[in-house]
Amino acid sequence: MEINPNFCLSISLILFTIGTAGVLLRRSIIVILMSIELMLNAVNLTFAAFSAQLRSMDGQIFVFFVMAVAAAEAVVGLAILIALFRLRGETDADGMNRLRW
Amino acid sequence: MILPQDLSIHTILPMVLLSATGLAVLILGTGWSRTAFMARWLALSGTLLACLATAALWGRPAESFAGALVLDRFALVLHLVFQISCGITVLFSFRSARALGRRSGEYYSLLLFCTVGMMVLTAGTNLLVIFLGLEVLSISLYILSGIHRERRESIEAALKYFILGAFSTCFILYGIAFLYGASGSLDLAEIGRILGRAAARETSGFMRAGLGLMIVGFAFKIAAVPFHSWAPDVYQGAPTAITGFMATATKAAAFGGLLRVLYLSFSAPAIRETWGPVFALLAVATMVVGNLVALAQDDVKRLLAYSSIAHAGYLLIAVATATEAGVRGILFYLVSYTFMTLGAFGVIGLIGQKEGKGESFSHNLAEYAGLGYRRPILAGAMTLFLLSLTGIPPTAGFMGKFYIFRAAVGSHHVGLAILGVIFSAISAYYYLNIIVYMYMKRAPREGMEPRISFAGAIGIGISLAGTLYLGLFPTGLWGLVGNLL
Repeated sequence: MEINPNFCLSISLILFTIGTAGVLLRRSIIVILMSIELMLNAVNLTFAAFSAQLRSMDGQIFVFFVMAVAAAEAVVGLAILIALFRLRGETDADGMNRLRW
Repeated sequence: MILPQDLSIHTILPMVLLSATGLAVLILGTGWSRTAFMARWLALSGTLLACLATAALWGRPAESFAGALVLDRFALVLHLVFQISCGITVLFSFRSARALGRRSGEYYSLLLFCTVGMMVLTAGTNLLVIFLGLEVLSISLYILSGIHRERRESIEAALKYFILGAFSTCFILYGIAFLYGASGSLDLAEIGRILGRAAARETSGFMRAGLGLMIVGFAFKIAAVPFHSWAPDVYQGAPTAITGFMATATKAAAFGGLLRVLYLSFSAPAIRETWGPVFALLAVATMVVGNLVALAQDDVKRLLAYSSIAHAGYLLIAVATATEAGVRGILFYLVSYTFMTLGAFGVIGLIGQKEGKGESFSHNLAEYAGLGYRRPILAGAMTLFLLSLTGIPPTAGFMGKFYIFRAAVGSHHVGLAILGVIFSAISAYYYLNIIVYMYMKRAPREGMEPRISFAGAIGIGISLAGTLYLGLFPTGLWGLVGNLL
């Protein structure tokens, strides 16, 4: 069965929008990190859809690089979050008010 | 296995040197404390070697990895900027990184890896390579800005930087995906050819979406208004040496990547008309917000953070002109801006050093009262950096602004040039305010003498020499940055 590329693109657009909304609206930093992962996966879906549509491998190779980099990014993000948790005992974005003009 | 003929490994020698030094520093740093002490010397000599290797590539435009990396003059000038910035940052870190103890190895190696990422980003002509360079640079900087993990300000800065950095990366990636969909290629020049042919008929929706998303992503990275909200917090919370590095090298790298994408893929006249006005708008917003909010700051480090936003605004004027003269102006400005900003942040870092406590977090303007009498040479250097940031001759800042505004006038963006001059005049208020504090206010009390390390003094000396040299003899560099793209 052939999947329509436009269907994949629409799904990825919806996922990307949900991710963006999550980063902008949610207060828990863990949920924000999850939203960023969602956005990255929406991008991956777009690459895969275009790759199938264009019959070119570049898109699929790009997906692997995005996954590898996303893993590295998640490691660093969670490490920073743990350091913050040790200092503060909570992981809420509302408490980040030490720095402001 | 079949190797392509034009692998030309020698062109990536500077990157290999820096990476190898970074690994060596990392291994050294994990050992006992004596080797941690050696880490900084190793980092410094690795950077110097990479500088020499980069200079050796000069004059022979080279491609490697089947055209995915291009070492043209544009890339080489920027690479030298990154390496000089990295070297001076290492010098400024001699004292401040001592507080990290064993972790100073990590600190220096991340700095070197970050520089490699910048080099890959600006040499890349393939969207995959550009993405990887951008990520190597960003991930290293997330850690560096939070390297003082026991301090809340540092961790807060790192987290804010991480969230907004990763967020903006998603936008750039989504833009890359759309460009790939619109053209079927990841090679910038190839995309440019396909889009140029298509633009003669119509501009496709995917192309517009891809361009828009990439502009948003890069606007985050260069801290252009309205995507600047992370910059003051991160600049203030990060260690001062790293702040200087972020304000100069990272900004140069982001502008380099942006220009590569714009001029290789979106240079067809019909497409230039779509992004020129967008950057003009960004430039005006960035100059207005950066300069006006800087007026209200009483913390010197935060003031310079807003000033660096304002300078991104001047650079965006040159992007908006969409001409080769604009690119030349940007390169000249980035080199001169690197020297004066690094110097200014270096002075702030040296003054912020408190005996036994490491670096203080607050850099209040009041601490600068009477500095001109307590530390005449340091205050003199700071005065020169501030005058250069204002754009007063005979400093590098004046020549940089001159070339940018001339490019704007030459491409009939007279309004932008006038706004740039007006906001430079407004910026004089907050820069000169620091000078007034240094020379015309009485010191609050005795016994707050900052002790200047020898390495820090050398770093300031290099920045000072660069600022003066480019102000007095600008034609040398101006000639070098000609015929770039």
